[in-house]
Amino acid sequence: MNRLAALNAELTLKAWATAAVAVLPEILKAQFGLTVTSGTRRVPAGSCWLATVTLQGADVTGRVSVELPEGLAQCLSLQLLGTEHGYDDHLLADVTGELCNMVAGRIAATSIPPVSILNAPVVHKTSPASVAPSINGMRFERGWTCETFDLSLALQVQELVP
Amino acid sequence: MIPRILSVDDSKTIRLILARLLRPFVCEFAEAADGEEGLAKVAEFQPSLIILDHNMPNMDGLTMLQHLRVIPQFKRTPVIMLSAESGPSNIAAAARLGVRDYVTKPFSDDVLIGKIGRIIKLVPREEASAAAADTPTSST
Repeated sequence: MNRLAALNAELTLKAWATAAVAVLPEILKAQFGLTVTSGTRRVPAGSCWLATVTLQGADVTGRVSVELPEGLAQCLSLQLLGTEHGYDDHLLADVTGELCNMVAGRIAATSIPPVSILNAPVVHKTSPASVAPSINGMRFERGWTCETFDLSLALQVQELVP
Repeated sequence: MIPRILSVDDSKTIRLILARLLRPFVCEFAEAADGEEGLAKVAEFQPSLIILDHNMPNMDGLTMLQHLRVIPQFKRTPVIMLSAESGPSNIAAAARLGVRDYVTKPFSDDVLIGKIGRIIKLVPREEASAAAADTPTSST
């Protein structure tokens, strides 16, 4: 039974990873007008914004995390809102959270069996070399480059014990 | 009558985008950051259209809508859902509560304005100003 549950979590992670790798560039293009190139996951230099959304299905739970450097968060805000509202931390956190929320929403929409978004994005400003909050279970990471900045996505999936 | 549009979304970014998109049109715009605040704002602002997020703290969009629909005055107030969640169960629940359209994030500005324009008449401010200038004034 545990082996079956672990296999289910592994398959879920693979499905989420496939969806996430496809949708993150699509979202950046469609909503923010930015293109990304694939890269390896690198810890961005300087302070970063880390947004996390929790997903839950019938037998798995997981997290979608998006981490971006301050400069890229400013760039996303500029693309959406122009310079009118400046770059205060509240707005940069909100923009990062929305990006993560959109990625999580698209993963949830393509997931079989269905999963739901459990919470509004939780966003933190982090110092360099920080890592996404950890849960037990399986993990997937991927990096991209966008407007010369490093951007990373992490997924974690854990089977729910009945 | 000038249309009144209420955005209920916990994301300030989304509320600012909507305010920017609607600025060229003759309308009044108000905002709320969650379902609880949204319900209070509906009573005060009497919107012609609500643009509603689903996943929000305190009270989510569908719960707000359930509360709204039992108030006779707001039973038929048009609602467009604007949400990152696009699962069939959410869309079905929204449809049962009389939501007129469901837009998923990411969204195109033109598509959203088009959908708003199908529900309420959006008159560009420039057009309204020109029409006002052309209207002859009466003198006694």
